[in-house]
Amino acid sequence: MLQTRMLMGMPITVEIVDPAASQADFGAVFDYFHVVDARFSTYKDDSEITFINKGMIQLAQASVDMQTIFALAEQTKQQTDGYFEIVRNGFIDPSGIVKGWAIYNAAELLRQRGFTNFYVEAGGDIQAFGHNAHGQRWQVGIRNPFNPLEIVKVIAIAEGGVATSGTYVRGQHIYNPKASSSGMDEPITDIVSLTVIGPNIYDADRFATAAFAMGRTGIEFIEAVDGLEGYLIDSAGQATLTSGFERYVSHVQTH
Amino acid sequence: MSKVQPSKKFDPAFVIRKSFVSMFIVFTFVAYAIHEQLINPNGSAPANASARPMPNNSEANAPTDLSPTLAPTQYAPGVLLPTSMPTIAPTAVIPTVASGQYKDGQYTGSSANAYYGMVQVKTIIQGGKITDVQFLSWPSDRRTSQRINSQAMPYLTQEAIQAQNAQVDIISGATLTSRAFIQSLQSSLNSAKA
Repeated sequence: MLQTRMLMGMPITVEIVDPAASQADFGAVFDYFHVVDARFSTYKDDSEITFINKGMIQLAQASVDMQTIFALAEQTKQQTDGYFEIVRNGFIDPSGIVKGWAIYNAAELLRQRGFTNFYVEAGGDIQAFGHNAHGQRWQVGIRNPFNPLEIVKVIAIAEGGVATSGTYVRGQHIYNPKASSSGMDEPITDIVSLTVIGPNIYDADRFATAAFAMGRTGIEFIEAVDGLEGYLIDSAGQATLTSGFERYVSHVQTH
Repeated sequence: MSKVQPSKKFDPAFVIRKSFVSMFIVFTFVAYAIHEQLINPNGSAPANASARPMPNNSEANAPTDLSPTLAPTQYAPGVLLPTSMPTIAPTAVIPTVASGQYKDGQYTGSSANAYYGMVQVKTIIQGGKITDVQFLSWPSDRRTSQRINSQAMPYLTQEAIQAQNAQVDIISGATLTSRAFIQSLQSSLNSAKA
């Protein structure tokens, strides 16, 4: 059973292989994303993060979720030597950590309901458990950053997270926060896509975002972090793989 | 006809003298070999590269130098080591013959502390040459040092991307949403303001 909904400005897809899945289970996941979006969307005038950005409430008075996200963002910043930053030009946008965190929590919600074979995907970031409808590990394609209709690699995962950070067809969106603070506000241009496989989507997503901001050396950072593997594509279409990436590469051609 | 031919053939003094000359020549060679070994114990052994500090890490390991075809075992062991690395068990790779070749066998290096964790390699020698270098351990708890490594790690490989025609369950990619476009636009406008 598979369902897709547009939420948080992106398509969110949930597939549950276990036969017990009902509409209520999908509803619970989509409801959760809706709550997260209402709280953390910087595009909504009445979201909690907008109130914080406008100075209408202080972090100390904010919700537990908000304080958690700020703490996780700070921790990630420290773990990535300052390359993860939710504040840009005085504007707080925690979406770089909220997305992976929300996907992870949504997947946990399904686990608590007893499901063991499913995935939750939001905007190309994935948390998977168990196997697909064919009894195989989940087959995940990495999108060609130069042609969104193509995939350039297929990986197979059972339990884990896959996140891709990248530039967009219509312009870069990830900046090096360190260069920004030093006045050189240059977008990342020499690499176009970084896919990270991690033990869960929360780690995969936040480290993919931070490593992408590092530019070419980001793949070395992924290599150096235990439990993470990465696939970096540069602007010339050349890919760089971490040492353990190959064991995830799927050679299953058809179902 | 009765010359003293037999006496030459069986002259004990001649045999002894000849033996001494032979022994002297052999001894000279052995002494020279020992002398050379004492003066320059590592000789011109290429295996010593594993113990040699990298002269210029940043240049040798710049990310752009990543070779597309090098698999981990094809790297010279020295490439892994930062300048400050302790030597990897020199006793394991000292050649046992003066010709500069290595004795066949498997040699495990000492566990060396790279700044991102412990590294240990095993060198396989066959036919007097290094045929394989295996990593017995590399940083196992790398989470404790999540700092950016200025040195390219030698295990990275490269390939040209290629379109696949396999069926997949899910696709991972940067989100191609209108929100991303808005965000990009907004940031560019923020920059324009500054």
